[in-house]
Amino acid sequence: MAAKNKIDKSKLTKKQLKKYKLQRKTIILAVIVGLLMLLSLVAPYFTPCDPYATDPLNLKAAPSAAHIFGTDYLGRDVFSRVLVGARTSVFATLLLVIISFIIGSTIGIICGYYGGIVDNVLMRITDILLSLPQLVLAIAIAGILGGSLVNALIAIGITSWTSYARLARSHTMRIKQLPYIDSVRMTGCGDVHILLKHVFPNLIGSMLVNATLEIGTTMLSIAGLSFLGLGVAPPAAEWGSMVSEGRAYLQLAPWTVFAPAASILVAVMLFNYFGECVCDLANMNEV
Amino acid sequence: MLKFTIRRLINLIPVLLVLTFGVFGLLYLTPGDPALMKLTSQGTAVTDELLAIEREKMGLNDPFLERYVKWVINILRGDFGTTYSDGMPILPKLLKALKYTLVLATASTVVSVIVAIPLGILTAIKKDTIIDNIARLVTFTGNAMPNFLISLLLMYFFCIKVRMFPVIAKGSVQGLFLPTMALAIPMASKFTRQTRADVLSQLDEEYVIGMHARGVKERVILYRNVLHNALGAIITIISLQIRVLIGGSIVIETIFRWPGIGSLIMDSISKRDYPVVQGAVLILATLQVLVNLVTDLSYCIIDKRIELE
Amino acid sequence: MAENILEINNLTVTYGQFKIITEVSFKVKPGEIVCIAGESGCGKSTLIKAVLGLKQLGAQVQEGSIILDGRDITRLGVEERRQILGTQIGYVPQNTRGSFNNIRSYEIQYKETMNCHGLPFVKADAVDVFKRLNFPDAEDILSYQPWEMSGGMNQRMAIGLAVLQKPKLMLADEATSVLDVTSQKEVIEELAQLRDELGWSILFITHNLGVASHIADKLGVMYAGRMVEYGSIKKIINNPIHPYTRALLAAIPGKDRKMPVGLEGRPPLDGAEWEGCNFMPRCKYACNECKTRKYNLVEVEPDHFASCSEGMGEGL
Repeated sequence: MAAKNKIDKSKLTKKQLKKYKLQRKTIILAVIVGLLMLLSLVAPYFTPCDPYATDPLNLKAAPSAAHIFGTDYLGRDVFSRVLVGARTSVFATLLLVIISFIIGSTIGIICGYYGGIVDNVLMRITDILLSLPQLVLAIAIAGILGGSLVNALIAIGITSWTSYARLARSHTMRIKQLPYIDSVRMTGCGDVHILLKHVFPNLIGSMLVNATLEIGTTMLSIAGLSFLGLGVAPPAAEWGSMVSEGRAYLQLAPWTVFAPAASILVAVMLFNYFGECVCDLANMNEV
Repeated sequence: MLKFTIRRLINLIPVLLVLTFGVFGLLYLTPGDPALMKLTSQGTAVTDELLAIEREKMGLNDPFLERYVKWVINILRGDFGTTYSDGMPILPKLLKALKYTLVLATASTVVSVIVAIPLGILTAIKKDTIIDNIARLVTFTGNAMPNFLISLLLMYFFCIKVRMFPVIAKGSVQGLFLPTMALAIPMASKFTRQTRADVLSQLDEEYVIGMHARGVKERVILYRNVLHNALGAIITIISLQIRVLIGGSIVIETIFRWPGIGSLIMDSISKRDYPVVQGAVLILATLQVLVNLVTDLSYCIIDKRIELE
Repeated sequence: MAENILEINNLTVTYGQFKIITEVSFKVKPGEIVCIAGESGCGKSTLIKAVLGLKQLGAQVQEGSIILDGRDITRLGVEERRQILGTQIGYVPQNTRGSFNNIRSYEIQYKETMNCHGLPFVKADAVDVFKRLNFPDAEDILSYQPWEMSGGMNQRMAIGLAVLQKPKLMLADEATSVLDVTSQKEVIEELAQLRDELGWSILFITHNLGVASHIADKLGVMYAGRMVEYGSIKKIINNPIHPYTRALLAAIPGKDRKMPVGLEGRPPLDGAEWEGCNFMPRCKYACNECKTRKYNLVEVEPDHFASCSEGMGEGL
């Protein structure tokens, strides 16, 4: 009998084990992602060289002990510039995701809760924005507004809030139907109280999952605009614009292109992997 | 089916209205005086008198709505206006560039679908084997790669190290290869992942067991049933990716100097030739809207239930 | 044709690392309807899965053998098994959406199935079958897609396809348990009709003894992976021997509006692993000896076997 109980136990823990592993993975990734953010925040103070100092004697130098990612066409240390660029690239991305998240979910919650004509109009607008090529709009807008980081963020932001709005709206409409919301209303609570204390906490989870999944895509969009010269203007260091600057020297100094490009790749992979784990974990908790 | 198509076509009207309004408004809000920009870009010495005449000629003194309606009517007649830079009509330029963009977009979509769907099915069947794990790593990386990195990597290897292809595409057939690859790699990665996920969820459906239980061949189950049912979701991701593709083509066309709409947009932005940008955005967005329409109609062919909704 | 269409000999089946069925034996003769009854989890569905033998189903035969019409099919290869599935063994699943792809027409799916066995698909033959089975709209039904049909109709279409495939043995896994009473009756009567007309042997799994008594010739009662009673259904219903069978029969709601007498507790999850009697914890006649008692079906009268007859004198 005892032996059989043991088998039973291992059956129970099999699923739990999977969840436990996923949880552990997610936590490790969260720590890595957190470190990346922290690093991008403080790294500019710890650069080995001045990222803006040119060195005419050391143009396009190959990676060496002194310059581990080499130097660019003006002799600036690529490693230092990658470190400085991290702040712009990572934080611009996070900022945009957070702003779109706040604007999108506010609009979505209000539309879902009150419905009516405002809802109708706003949702048609999101439908239309979602049916257009986002990057083209962003490029056109940024191009016409003129290249700067803020304009690039505005250009991408014009369409990026829509997915949050849609999601928040559908969740709000579902939550609104729940019987307990009626009883809360019965006790005399106002709409604001219901929205903040009951609707918002119920949808924040899946909204955050969606937001983590969007970080990678957003980072790629910003990098794309910067690469086209519609984002951060040189000499300020940003990964996308560094690739753009280095492009002309692809043959002679490939490191000036591949060091910042690889940084984008690694950062996006990290955020995507983190997002996927969070998403899997959320799905697992639902079941 | 006909009713469904008509309904979808009617739905397009507000989309196109908002789209034209937005695109027009974009230029309206542009800082700077269009008449001044036009004159300076043509290299004319600007005087106040000349400026006033030009303003009147361009209809800049009319109210916003009137200008908008005129603009839309002109576009419906095929008149996209003239460029600031050389005063030539815009439409022929757009059409010529559109041809190149369509070639590139079609080539890369076809390549990625051809690669991704079999690979997605294969990795779904061989779930958690070494093939699946390798494919997962590759597609995960491909998915996270900025398209300019892929382009520059391809360029570095094929043009600089191996010297197999010319660095500048200039619209030749030979030059089509690298931009196609650059667009197809991230797209194929997404498609493979999506196909794998959809096929896996279809394989869980009970009818698959039911078919095995009456001796239907594995091949028939996979390709005629599982794939058929997964196609709806796969088409969704394809149509979503076409949005990304249209955006990405701007970057890729710029890098490889492929003379498509993307290059035209970037050229015109740098020349501040905004009416061209306006026309190009309108064309690309309309293209996207048409893709969406085709997507919706194809759902309907795959699954008759959609029509009822 | 062999004497028995299906012979299950001393079958032990595992699912993952768990033993689900232990040492079950019985035979199905040509033209016989055999019903296997028991609570959920007793292993009756696993029995069907073992006979189908699809690796996707997860049921693995560890010991014993399954003989189909004189041929041992216990360890067939994938392709050999595919060839006998459908044409020799038919199957109607519990899930009414479990036979057909929901969004492709019946006609395509009928055709595909026939062609996979190298058989021609003749539409007129199918329509004949539908007419014989009194399907509504027999002429056009093939052009419909399964989602447009009720669950009962889907089950009947699965049976219709089986008629074309001419299997010797039909497996029905709770095929009627999710249907409403009218559809249930239609499906049951269809199976009975086909047995009479085509001489089908049917292995029918159900937890509903009412359904079983309606069509079956033989009844097998399973409890926690063991067959506790087997024999002619009339004899078992009139004269149940095993304490569990008696409890099960007492649990059928009667016409007298009395609440059925339920059993206390639940079957042990790992009952198939026990050496002794696994009904013991719920049995009011349990004694020490039951712990080591070897499970064996004993013939109590002609065509009626039971593994235990404790407390027979007391009635219920």
